[in-house]
Amino acid sequence: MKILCLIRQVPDAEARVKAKNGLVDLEGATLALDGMDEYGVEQALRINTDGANTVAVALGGARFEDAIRRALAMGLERAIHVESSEHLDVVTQAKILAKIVQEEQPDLVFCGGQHADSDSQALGAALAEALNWNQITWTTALEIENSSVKATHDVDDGKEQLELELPLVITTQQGLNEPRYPTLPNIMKAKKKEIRKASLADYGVAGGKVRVVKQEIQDKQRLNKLIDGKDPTAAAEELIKLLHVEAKVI
Amino acid sequence: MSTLRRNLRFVLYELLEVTTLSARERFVDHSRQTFDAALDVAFEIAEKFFATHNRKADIFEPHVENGKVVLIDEVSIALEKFRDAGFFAAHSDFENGGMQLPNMIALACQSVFLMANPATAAYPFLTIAAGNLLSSFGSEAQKEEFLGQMLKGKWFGTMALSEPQAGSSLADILTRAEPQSDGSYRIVGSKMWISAGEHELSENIVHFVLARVIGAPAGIKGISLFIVPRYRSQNGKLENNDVHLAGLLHKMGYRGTTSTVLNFGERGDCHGFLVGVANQGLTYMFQMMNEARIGVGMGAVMLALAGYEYSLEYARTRLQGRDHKDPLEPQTAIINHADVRRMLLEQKAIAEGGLALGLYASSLVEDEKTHPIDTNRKEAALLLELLTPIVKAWSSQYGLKANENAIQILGGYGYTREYPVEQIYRDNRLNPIHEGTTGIQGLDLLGRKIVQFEGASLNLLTREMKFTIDAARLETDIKDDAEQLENTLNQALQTTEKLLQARSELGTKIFLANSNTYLEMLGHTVIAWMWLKQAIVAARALSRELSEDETAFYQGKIHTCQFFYRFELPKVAVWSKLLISLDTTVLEMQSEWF
Repeated sequence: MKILCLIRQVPDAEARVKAKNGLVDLEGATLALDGMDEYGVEQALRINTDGANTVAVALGGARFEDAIRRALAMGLERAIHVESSEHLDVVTQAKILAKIVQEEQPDLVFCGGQHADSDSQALGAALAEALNWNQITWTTALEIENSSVKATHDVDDGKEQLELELPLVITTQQGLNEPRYPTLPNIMKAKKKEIRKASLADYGVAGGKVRVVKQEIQDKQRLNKLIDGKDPTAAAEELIKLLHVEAKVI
Repeated sequence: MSTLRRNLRFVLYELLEVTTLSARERFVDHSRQTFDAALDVAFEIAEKFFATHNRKADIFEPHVENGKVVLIDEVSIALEKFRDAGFFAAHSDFENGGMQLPNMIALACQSVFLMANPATAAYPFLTIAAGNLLSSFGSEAQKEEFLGQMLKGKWFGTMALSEPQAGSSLADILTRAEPQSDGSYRIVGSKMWISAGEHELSENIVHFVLARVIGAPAGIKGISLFIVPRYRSQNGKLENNDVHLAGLLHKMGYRGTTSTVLNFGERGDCHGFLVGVANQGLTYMFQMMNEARIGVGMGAVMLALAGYEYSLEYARTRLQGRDHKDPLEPQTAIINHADVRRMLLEQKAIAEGGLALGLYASSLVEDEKTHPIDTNRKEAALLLELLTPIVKAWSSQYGLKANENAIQILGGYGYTREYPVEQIYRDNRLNPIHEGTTGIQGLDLLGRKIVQFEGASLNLLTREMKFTIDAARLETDIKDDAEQLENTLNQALQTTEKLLQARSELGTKIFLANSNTYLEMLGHTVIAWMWLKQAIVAARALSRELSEDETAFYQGKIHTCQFFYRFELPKVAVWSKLLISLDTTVLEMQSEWF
């Protein structure tokens, strides 16, 4: 089975991102392969355990190459990098990626369910639409037998079980698997794997349709809430309530 | 661990220019991309699987249940991730499944784990050190049987040197080895303070044991090195090799690493296998020990950095006191108090100065092995000999001082077990003790390293420091520091000359009486050199257009250099005066007068 994994590079969760001249400035920021995309890479390597016929596809600036090398070090066979530092809206991205899918003719395309930087969840859907393929979104479990796919998809208060035929676009999320770390020997092997470079012009695109006017970094204020610890049970309950209701982290 | 990440980038790529190693045949496949990728994996695994149980392993220390050592589950999970990623063989050849990383990058990766959780990191690092020993001196058959398993992380290794009656004085070890007709030896004796000596984390434990062959000369000239596995291979199976855990030692820190007393040959059936030639054991072991001493120094630096990072964040967020006397005015963060900044600066100077020195020493280890020019290889070895006791002793002594400041910044909170700085201090307290105490390092530095090869090592150090001083004179912001370092260096050299004169005229006892002070004097001078090297890089960087963060980073380097030169470097003059006076106060003190 041939599998394409769409990957992106985003600021690391702990990176200190700043805005400069009204735009996010990533110079000096630590960047990483988007965690949501890692689930797709891992799943591809669980299906094709030797990594054969697995291709990373990235659309972004020169620094994306680090993310591509990481996906290759995890085990993907080769990569295609459409190099552009332009801001491209999701629909334009999907059009370019659809052309790559048509060239490569995979059975399956994995795409992260949500972008860690922009929070957009649209790319998988836009690509499926551009290809006129079926899609399964927010996938947390996957079984493939011949051309038949059984998947579990999260909905607000539960799960849905879906059965579809290949080809498909599948968007991934936490719970689908535990992504592997690149091993040191594989980091060396990845250095020699093919990364085919392409440009927007190769796909007949001059730029995006959306112009970014201004970006700002959200200013987070510390609330400095103190919980009275005299009653440990009450303090724990209060802490859980704050984390759940106010911080929304649990 | 963000401070470590940024500082590793600075020291590796800007200060030591590690990417230039790609010009050497061994590293031709490497580039910044492969180095960064290895470091990234180290950070990820360290942060997710090592740091997360550092506290728990301290609370639930190893204990024995039904004759077996029990550790918290998280230790084996972390080590499995470490093993799967290939870190046991990071430095090893490609054909051994390794990544053939330069020593500097391999040590930088190790440092990441040491900062996250030194106790869990000790298991693989002891194994790696033991594997290096075997790689250098073992026979092909021994490498085939043991080294492969160690590089895969399936078998762990230990160093079994000390005995209950012989710690620093290895000349007095009693463990004996009786030759057998099949070429093996039967080992009988007890070893103490054996880190990672017993556990169930690996399929086997390969002990590297110092012992005396029956009839060997007394003292260090009669010590041999043996491989003594916990389980020995027999008919394709692993059989018990008569190595017994006599007990676990309960330590102040580093609690997650088992510290053991081991009995070898209680049943007379403990098989040992001689490494290299008989009676050369200590020479072999010293190769490992020199690398281990750099590792200890780096471990101390990592804990200094851990305390610094934590107390810095605390100082930025802890509100106490006001800028003015108005009680209605909001309180200010304690970082705005001058004395708190002093304590942070001292930590930064120690941690980042020590990091630069440790990785510089590691670059010398690399040059000694792989530099294409013979003279450079020899010079690297000479300089490394001199710097090793400083890396080990200065970093561990002052690393602890940094941790005291971290506790002080947190005040009462820092003294409680609810905050991590007390554990960091307890863990770091081991470092001035193991792999040769600070006192031993002082004797080694002055009594051996300064004297040997007619002072060639010190001459090299002087030459290298003068290169840096000349380069710093060209940078406006730091040219005064260059003058100060030159004066200090001259002071240190004059002191050394005076001591060497005393050695020939008055004897070794007077010469070595204040060797610990000498170590402090030369240690401070070397760290000042490391700071000047960093300041040069920073000054040049600041002439470019930089982001706000990057500007702050480089300004911080120059300012910390200035702090070290104003607050610490003048101490060299005091130590120098004491040393030149050949003071005998310590020597003359009588036991009865205490």
